Parts: sequence; structure tokens; C-alpha cells
Amino acid sequence: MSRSTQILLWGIGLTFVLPFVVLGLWSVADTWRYPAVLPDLTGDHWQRLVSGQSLLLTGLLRSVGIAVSIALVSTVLGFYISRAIAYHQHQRTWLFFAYWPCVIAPGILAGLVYIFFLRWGWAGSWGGVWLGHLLLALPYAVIVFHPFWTPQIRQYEQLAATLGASRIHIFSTVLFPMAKGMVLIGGFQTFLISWFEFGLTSLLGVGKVQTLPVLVYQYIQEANPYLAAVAALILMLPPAVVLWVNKRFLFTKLV
Amino acid sequence: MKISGRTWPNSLLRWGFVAIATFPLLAGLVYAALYSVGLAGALSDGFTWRHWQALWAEGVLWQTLGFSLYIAVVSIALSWLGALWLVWLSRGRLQKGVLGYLLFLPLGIPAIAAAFFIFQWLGSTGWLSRLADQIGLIQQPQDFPNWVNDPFGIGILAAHILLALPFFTLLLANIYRQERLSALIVLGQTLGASTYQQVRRIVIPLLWQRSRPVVLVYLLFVLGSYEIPLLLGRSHPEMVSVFVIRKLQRFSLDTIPQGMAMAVLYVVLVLLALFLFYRKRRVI
Repeated sequence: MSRSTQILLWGIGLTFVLPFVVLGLWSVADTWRYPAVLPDLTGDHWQRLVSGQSLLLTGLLRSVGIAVSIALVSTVLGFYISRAIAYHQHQRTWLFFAYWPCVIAPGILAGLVYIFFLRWGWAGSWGGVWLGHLLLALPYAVIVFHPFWTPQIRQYEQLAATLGASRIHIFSTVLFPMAKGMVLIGGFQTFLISWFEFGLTSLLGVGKVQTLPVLVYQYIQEANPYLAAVAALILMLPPAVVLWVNKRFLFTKLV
Repeated sequence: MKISGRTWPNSLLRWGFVAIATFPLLAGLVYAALYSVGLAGALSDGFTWRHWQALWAEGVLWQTLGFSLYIAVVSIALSWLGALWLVWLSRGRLQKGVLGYLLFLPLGIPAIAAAFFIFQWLGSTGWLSRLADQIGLIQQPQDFPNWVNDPFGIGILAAHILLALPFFTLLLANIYRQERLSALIVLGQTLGASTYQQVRRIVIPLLWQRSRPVVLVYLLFVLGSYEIPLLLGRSHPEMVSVFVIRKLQRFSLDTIPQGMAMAVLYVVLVLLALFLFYRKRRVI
């Protein structure tokens, strides 16, 4: 690579840091009036998060609760369901059903099921939003885990069963250790689906279930860019930390 | 011992999955279709094409679908071509070191945060405008170009490209290595291919063929995007998701059937695209 190419690539690479810089500045800005390029600094907005003076702390806890439970349930269910699909002779037909909710916009998916949620009293409740998130995360988990069930894995299962291992033993000592990496990736990605979800949450939550993405939007609407930036940065934190640990969690091998 | 997929627990899992993942969508789709022709809902008064005709007559249908398609195609095309250019410049060596880390960063940015950033970056009182003011390019915020909530969706495109460009760059760099394109390019050079011919005949066909399924899925994702056009778009024309959710959330019940009609049309088109593509390929 020539030096000019390297400089160009670095310039483009550094552009991707800008969202963190700009939102970071807003999150510590006391006042930032036009045309000042840099704001006066304060730690008040972050302090409001820690002290619980704003909706941020409850929003954060609510988001963590929903996203972690969605990740756990969809990962466990997705693992077993993907196996049931992969071992069926018409696996492609079954897998096709998993793609449906993944390619349709979450907001429109929410619009289609909204009436049922209203009728059954789920709209505007935690449970309703949780169920809505599961509609998105579970099919995705099935798609992620499906490639794991290769003929070789099946042969391992058969070998273990022939040697007398029970079904529980096969899963705990053969399959889970082999699938550990994929389970972690699937778990984190389903966590992110729920963690980032806005359209479906705002519609099914009817404004009552205020997760972090909903709060970002609410603060923007209230012309409060400071708290909106704090909420946005908290949203960006888990992926950034996990990225530091292992890039694979954010970018599964797609081809 | 033979491991079979046809045991009753497996059947239960499969049908249970369809009940959770597919049935609500199908039931919602049928209900929305009935709602849009006046056969369901609080104000239903018998079969009518009135709501579809209203969408058609006002030109909203084509404007909304057209604008969504324009945003999806342009943002994906620019991102893919930009990624191709970066991968070609770096010869696929982008995933390691600090630069690789920087490329991964935007993958962890939610759409709502990306939209908020673009708003604060490209808006008339955003950071670029402030910089332009400092160096004397503009005198007041109104002098700055209208890039947010603009008729061409420049802000929407910028937000989507911010998220899609690094994603496609990593994807194409991956394919570049897997397909050993460097070796093929050397072979092409040996046989006398010019740089243009190497890109046109070797790099683009291979990268396009391998990345096409992901491009399609990403295109469908952008087509239905909500947060970004909600924050950075105009009230007219709107993208599909914004139109549908706005119609459903209004206090007036009169607007719901139009929202339902648009949702039905969008879902049918997306599922049709998925079906056609899925049928042609062994794996997505």
C-alpha cells in the first residue's frame, strides 16, 4: 500500500469515530450554542444518570432486563429449534419461515400484530414488548445456529448415542462444548437486536415502555440533545466493549 | 443409533416455532388486508376499495414506495461501490490492526444514534455548519446547505451509508481473502490484463456474486428502515415504515385502513422478493 493510500484509508477509518466524538461532546456539554465549535463542559448529565434524577437509569435497567432475557430465551430456543429444522428432510422449507420476520421491517411487523396486542391487553406492557422482541430475535437465532448442524455434528451425536450417552449427556458434553463460540455470538447478536430495537418498542409499548432507544427519541423530541446523547452513548457501549474483546461477536461470517 | 428429525419433540419445536415466528405475521397480514378493504376494524362498513383508491389517487402509494426504493438502492449502491474501492485500494488487508478496529466500530451503532449523529453533524446548526462559520464560509445557519429533512433524503442516505459502508467493506474484504483474489489478479496481470480489466473482469464479478445475498437482505432492511427517516426525513415523501406507523398511531381511525393497505403491499412485495431469491439459491 502506498503512503497516500494509507493516509486516505486512515482518514476514512477515523470518520467512523466521529459519532462517538460528537455524541460524547453533547453528553458533557453544559451549553453549546451556535456557532461555538466546542462546548462548555459539565458532568451533570452523566451524574443525572447515576443519581437516578432522570428517566435514564430506569430506562437502562429496563433495556438490560428485556435484552438479556430475550438473548437467553431466543438463544436456548433457537439452538434447539435450529436442530429440529436442520434434521428434517424439508429443512429449506422450514428455514424459509425463519426468514420472514427477519426481512420485514420491525415497525411494520409491529403494525401488523398491534391489533392483537391491543385486544389481548398486551400493548403498553412489558410482556407485550418482550413478546414483540422475541418475534424478531428468535427467527434470527434459528438462522444463526442452523449452519452449525452439519452432517459431521450429526455423526458425533450418533457416535455418542451409540456409546450409550443419554440425550442430556449428548447436549452437555458433546454439542454445547462444540457450539460454545456460536452460542456466544448468537446470544450477543440477539441481545443487540433487542437492545437497539426502537420502532416495534415504540408502537407496541405505546410510549409506556421506555427503553433506551425510545428515550433517545423522546429526548430529541423534547429538544434535550444532552440527555439524548447520554442515552445514545449508553446504547453504543456494550457493542464497543464486546468489540474490544472479540470482533467476531459483531460480524458473523456471512459468506 | 440414528438421530432422526421426525421425533415428536422435534415436530413440537418446529410447529411451535412456526406458531411464534410466522403465525402472528400471517394473521396480522390477513387482518390488515381485511381492514384495508373495509371488512374488519372499528369503522368497517362492508367491502370497499376506497382506501386503496385514496392511496392510488393521491399518488402517495408510488411516492412512498418510490422514495423508499430510491433510498435503499442509492445508499446500498454507494456503500457497496465505496467498499469495493476501499478493498481494492487496500488489497483486502483491512481487518487487522487499529484500522480494522475502526471499521468495526460503526457496526455497534444503533440506527437511532446514527440518525441523531447525522442530525448534529449535517444539520443547519450542526458541527459542519459551525466549522463552516468559523472559517468564514457562511454567515448564518441558514446559509448552510439543507442536508437534513431535505427533499432528496441526503441526511437519510448519509446515515445509512455510515452504517453500511464499513459493513460492506468488511464483507468484501472477507470475500477477497477467501476467494484468493490477490492470486487471481496476479494471474490476470501475467496474462496481460490492464488494471481496468482486472477490476471489471475479476474483482467485481467475484465480489458481487458472493455478496449478492447479503446485499439483497440489507436492501430489504433499508427499505423498511424507520428511525433514520423518522428523524432525518420530511413529512412528504415518507418512507414506508414511517408512513404506516404514522397512519396507525393517529387518533383519527379514518387513517388506519390506508396504513394497513400500505403495510400489506410492502409485506407482499418483500416476501415475494425473498421467495424468488430463496427459490433460486441453495443458501442465503
